[in-house]
Amino acid sequence: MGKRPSTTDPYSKLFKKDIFKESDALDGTEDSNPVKKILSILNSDQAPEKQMREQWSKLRKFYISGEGGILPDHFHSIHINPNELDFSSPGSYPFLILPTGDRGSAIHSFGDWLKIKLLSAESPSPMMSKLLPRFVRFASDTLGTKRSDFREFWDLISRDLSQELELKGGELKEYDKTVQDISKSIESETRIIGFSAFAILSIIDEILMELSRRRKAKLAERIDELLPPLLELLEIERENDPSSNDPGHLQSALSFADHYFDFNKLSSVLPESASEHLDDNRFDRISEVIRSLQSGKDLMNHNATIIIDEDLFPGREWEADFNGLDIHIVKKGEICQFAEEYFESHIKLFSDVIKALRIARLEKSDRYRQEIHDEVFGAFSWRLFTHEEMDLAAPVVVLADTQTLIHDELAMFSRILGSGIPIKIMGINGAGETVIHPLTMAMSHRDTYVAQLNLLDPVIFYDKLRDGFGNYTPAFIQTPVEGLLTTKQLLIYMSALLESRAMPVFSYNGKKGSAWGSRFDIMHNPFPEELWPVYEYHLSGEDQETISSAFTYADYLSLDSRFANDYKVVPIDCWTEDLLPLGNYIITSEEDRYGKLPYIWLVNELGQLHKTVVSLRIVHLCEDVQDFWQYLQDNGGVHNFHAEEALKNQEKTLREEFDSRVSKLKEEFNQQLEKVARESSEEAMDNLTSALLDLDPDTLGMVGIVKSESAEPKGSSEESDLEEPATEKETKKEEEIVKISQDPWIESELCTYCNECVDINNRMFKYDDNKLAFIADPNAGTFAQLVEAAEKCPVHIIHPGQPLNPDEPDLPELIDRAAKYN
Amino acid sequence: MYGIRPELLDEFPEQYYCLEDYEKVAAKWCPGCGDHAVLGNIQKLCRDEQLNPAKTVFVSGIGCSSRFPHYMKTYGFHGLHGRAFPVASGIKWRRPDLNVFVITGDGDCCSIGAGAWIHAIRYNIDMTVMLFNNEIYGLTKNQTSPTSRIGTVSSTTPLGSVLPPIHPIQTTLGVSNVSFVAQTVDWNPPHLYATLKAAYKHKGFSFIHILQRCPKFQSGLVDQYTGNKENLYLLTGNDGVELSDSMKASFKNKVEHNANDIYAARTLAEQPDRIYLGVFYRNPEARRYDEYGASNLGFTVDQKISALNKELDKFAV
Ligand SMILES: Cc1ncc(C[n+]2csc(CCOP(=O)(O)OP(=O)(O)O)c2C)c(N)n1
Ligand code: SF4
Ligand SMILES: [Mg+2]
Repeated sequence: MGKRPSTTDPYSKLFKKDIFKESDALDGTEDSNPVKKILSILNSDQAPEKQMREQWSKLRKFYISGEGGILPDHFHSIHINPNELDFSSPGSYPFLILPTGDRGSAIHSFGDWLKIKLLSAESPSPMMSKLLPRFVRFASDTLGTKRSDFREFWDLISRDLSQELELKGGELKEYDKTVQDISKSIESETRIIGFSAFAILSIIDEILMELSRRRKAKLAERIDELLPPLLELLEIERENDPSSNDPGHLQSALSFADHYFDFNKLSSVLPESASEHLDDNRFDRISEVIRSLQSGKDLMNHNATIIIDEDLFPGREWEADFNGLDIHIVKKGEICQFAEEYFESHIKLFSDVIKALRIARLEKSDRYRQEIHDEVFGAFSWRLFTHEEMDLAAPVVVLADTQTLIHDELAMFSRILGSGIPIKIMGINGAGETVIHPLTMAMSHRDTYVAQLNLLDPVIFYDKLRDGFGNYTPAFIQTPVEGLLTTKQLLIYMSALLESRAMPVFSYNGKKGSAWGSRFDIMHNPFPEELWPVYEYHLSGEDQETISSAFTYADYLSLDSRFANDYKVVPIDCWTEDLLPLGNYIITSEEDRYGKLPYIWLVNELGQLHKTVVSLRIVHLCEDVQDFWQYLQDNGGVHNFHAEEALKNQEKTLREEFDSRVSKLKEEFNQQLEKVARESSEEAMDNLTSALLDLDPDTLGMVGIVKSESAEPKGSSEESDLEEPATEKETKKEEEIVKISQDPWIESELCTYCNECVDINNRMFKYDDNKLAFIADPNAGTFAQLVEAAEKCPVHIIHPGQPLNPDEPDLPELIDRAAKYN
Repeated sequence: MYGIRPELLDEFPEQYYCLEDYEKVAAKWCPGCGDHAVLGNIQKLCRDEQLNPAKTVFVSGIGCSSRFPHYMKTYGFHGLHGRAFPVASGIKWRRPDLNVFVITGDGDCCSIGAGAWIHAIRYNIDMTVMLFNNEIYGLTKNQTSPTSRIGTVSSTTPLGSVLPPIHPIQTTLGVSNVSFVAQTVDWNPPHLYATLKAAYKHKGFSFIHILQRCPKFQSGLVDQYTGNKENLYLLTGNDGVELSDSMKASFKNKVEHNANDIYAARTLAEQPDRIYLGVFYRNPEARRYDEYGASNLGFTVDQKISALNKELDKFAV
């Protein structure tokens, strides 16, 4: 595997200078209107054999060693051709974050938002609809890379644009009305954010502040719900205080009636309070809970915490990015450690409040059971939080250079991801580094949220980040931030990262179901079902030729000056069949690669295309990137190996089955065909015969006799079958009844719970769980008692049966009395 | 999520109430008194409906039957003679979260408490009301009550009573805004239970007239009641009580009756010689006074005091 170059250069120097030159068409201002260069391939005859062989041996040497490679000035990957690219900011920029939406807040591109506003206006203005692109462009230019309060910003640009347009009369009126209506409809706290490398910081900030607002509201609601009932409980307790009956207290309460009462006497006759006192434990517990809940209100002043790598964008004024958040700048090597310690100590405060809320809820409905809950709450910690409760705690976010995390803090970094501590780690990588290792490592902890994001699409960025921040697991989210590039450079760079699979956008949510596949989302990449995105380019000339080319990692690396020596342009007269497009070369087996060399298309400033061989080192890097991409695809449900194998097998068995059935059917068909042919000739013969001989009357009579013979014996046997068991059953039933009436019994269902029988003998008569009397033990008393109970039972449901003890006195008389109730 | 499911710890055990959770002391009624049956079945109902004892209150007036709250391990209010209804109304009005039951006797309800009774029916505040009718004053040992039948011999009418009795069902059905009227007997526990349940489930003033045996002072009635299954008429049909098929089958006489038809109900009530069992009338749409009273609940004591002070401050000079 190829070694990556070290990162000692300041990263602004890593990129080839000329592609980011501000002079040429990169400016892309509308008026300059660059001439669109047409791609072409120069024609040439093949070089003489000797020259060809020399060239190719140089190319092979270069391929293996990198020797003699050079990427000439003004040569660019066909996909990253600055002369062809139309530079405006990405489509979704600038974008708005609105405070209300399905999940609390929502993000929209400014253009979409404005379009919807104009379309849904009460009196749509066609003029304004025409002005829409102008508006978006103007907003984008005015805002630049900034973040701003949207209503203020809207008022500003609509005023400035109106001046620039020099509208008058009816048009001005129409314009003013529309922009004012829109201005009124803008909710406060709406932000507009421009395209810049640091837009993601604004998104982080907005999400955290928004989560914080909702969190505070929820916490306040729950405290306000549970605190008053507890306060009331204690208040009642105070009134119950026995001292409220003492003469002094009475005197002060009834002083107006001083001369009517003797307070000492009154005190002695007053009853104790009617209600029961709270026991001391409960009183203390409730007081404690009240204290915690009151202190919970203080916690609401705290928003979220953000812990920042000291070496990340040194000199940046973080307070401006994260106004309102609690910021800690930490030295590299100590970041994760700090985050963990900070989290544990901070969450303790929340856990006290959550515990108090839980106890309060139990106390409110009088469901606190000391024997169980004391122990549970004694060992209470944030790990017992429900998701809803976790939402009440302020999040802790780490912002660090990915390199720092894996080079200086790997152990602690992994520990956080594995421990379930919901710290959200943002791995920022600059310097053009493609870093796969921390992503796969983070996913290997399984119960994590892992994502790689690209700011080109802020809507996806926002959604995924919110998922990660709201998910109740540790999160690692990697995103590239290139702080020193111009807007246009940034756009090229970010697009190339995404297109070349250098940093595919994906998310892995460890909480999303038990099937691994369901946890992955890779659908926000260009052509997610392909290995590389493949684009078509038109060539100049009559015959409208096109070439298609894969946007590989090698195309991306051509931006990086560290790899300038890994490309070698092939002279046109040496192009042969042995040059393979890199995309094909990579998927070719080692043996079949023999004798071939991989190339990508480069284009010069004249729009001429050149096949350019890349070095083995680049091929290795491409293979690595492709391998990771395939891993994502496999998990993300695109080209899953097992699914595809299963599908193949299934297809095979189906085909086999199908084939065998077809041949069987064919065989059957042929047999059938033969048979029919045979039978039809036989039938024809039969018909002919019967027509000739007529029917035989005897045959009919025979059938009738056979029928009546078989019916009779069968019928009679059925009857006797039925009769016998019936008689048996009846005898059994009678026997049972006799047996039952000999044992004493109670029709329990009708028992009125009057205590008559139980009072006579509570061992013989008992109530069941439903308060219905039954005879628990007929031997626990005398027959005389049974008879007495039967007589006393107000609803006559006791049946004394026959005496069990033949030696009991007066039996004949008792049996006589019992008969009435049996 | 973090290892142990929190609900297992926090909510555990989801309190399950058993019969013992509703039983206080052994009832001191005479053996064979019908009150026992009602007590037992009410405790069963509480258990089956899993009523939180701390959220349940039994309110009574004075009488043998009115001792009922003492035997329940719930909240109770053994009040003044004939005044169970005003107390219960006040409780429900200010504490709509409580389950309110009222126990009253024929003397308590139809004699001294008749005024409160009529208005309670009309108020239609959500509560379950059991009128224990033994046709006698039991606690004070044998005085004729307004529901005693003509000719009742007691210490107040030694030569036999002379006026025809009040029929509580008839009276109840005559009051405007009546919402639930049922009749049952203490000596048929399954029907008693089913009726209590239907009444409890009904939202509003659910009135149950319970024919109750008093073997002490109305022993003559006991045999007449329990020895004769012919005089019981089970009301079947629309909106009645729910009985098992086997229980239904055990009644010889059945009468089809639409409980939503007040005229049909009043016609039945005109035949006091027959004991109709079941729901006479049910109107869930009747207006509920408690719904008009429960508007300003939920203030803490502090809030109430400060509101009062504010009002009183207006009179400061
Ligand atoms: C204001 C008042 N008047 C009279 C009494 C006496 N007293 C107690 S119970 C009772 C009658 C109870 O009869 P009933 O309601 O039918 O109850 P039972 O005992 O029959 O269940 C009377 C009149 C009383 N306690 N308070
Ligand atoms: S006197 Fe009558 S009502 Fe009272 S307990 Fe005894 S039997 Fe029951
Ligand atoms: Mg009575």
